[in-house]
Amino acid sequence: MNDFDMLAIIVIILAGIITYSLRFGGLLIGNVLSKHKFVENLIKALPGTLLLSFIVPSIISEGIPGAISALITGIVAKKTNNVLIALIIGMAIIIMFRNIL
Amino acid sequence: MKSNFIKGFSSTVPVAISVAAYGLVLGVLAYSKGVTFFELLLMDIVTFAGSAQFLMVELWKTPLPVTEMLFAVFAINLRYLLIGASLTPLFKGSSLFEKAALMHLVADENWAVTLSRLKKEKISPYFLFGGGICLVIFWVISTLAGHTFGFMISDPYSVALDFVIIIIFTALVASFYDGKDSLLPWIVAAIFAYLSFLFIPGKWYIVIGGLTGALAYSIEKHLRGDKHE
Repeated sequence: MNDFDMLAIIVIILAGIITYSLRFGGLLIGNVLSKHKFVENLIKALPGTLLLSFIVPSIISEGIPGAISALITGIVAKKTNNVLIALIIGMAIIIMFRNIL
Repeated sequence: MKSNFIKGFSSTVPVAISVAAYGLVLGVLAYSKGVTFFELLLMDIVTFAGSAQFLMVELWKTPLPVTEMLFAVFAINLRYLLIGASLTPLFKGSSLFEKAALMHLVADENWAVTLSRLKKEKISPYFLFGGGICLVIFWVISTLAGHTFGFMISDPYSVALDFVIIIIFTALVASFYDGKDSLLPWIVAAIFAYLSFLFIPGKWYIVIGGLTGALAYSIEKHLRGDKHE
């Protein structure tokens, strides 16, 4: 096992420790947290804004096909509440653009 | 106690099947990014968080961007603080050891299944844990299957493999959309993310966009006088 592999193992374990601390920590501080509305709101908004920030540059880089595919995926996901159907439709659109058009 | 475990396990099976579909995709992506079989297995069990694992695999390269990766994992999993906090009623009367042992396998899916069941009947934390065991089994098998058969996808570009994660996250983002409340924070997040993407090297745009957007939400709520429920 070389150095790089060891580093990867350590990073994965650290990621696990971080995630577990948040899970367990949330349960422990459950009562305190709700008293700080500002922090609670911040945490509430974070998953959406974080995921959005992840996708925006890639969608813009992909151009119009990316925008069309993302928009339709988002609408389908919201309307059907089914991520899998949205995924299939979104992928079909982007594959079509890349291979046919 | 035992029956709660089994009830939790069986109630989570339908959700676990759709989770396994992303698991397959994650496995294929992990293979194409050079994550080894063992590293993926370790991630599945030690981290056990779908979106965080997608992020880690996405950021995976040589040398590993350790700081960005860990910060991104922290930021995307911050919601577990709230998820954990929301489970306080379920764990009422449990020992500290029980809490510590049962919280690891909490994911969005078994959390949602458990909380919706808790509204209808009295259940124990073992319901949640049963759901977690169900998810981890489906998760490990599907990701490793994706990893094993990943080599069959010969031209990742034409099947748009690089775009799968973007589409999955787009679909997930939609589920977080809260109507007018999301408008300002999302516009702020998108603008800051794109500007950071253009001007700051690395993948910091995820964290910068996420935090500025969430701050915009908190500040907006604060200014509207929403300080206490």
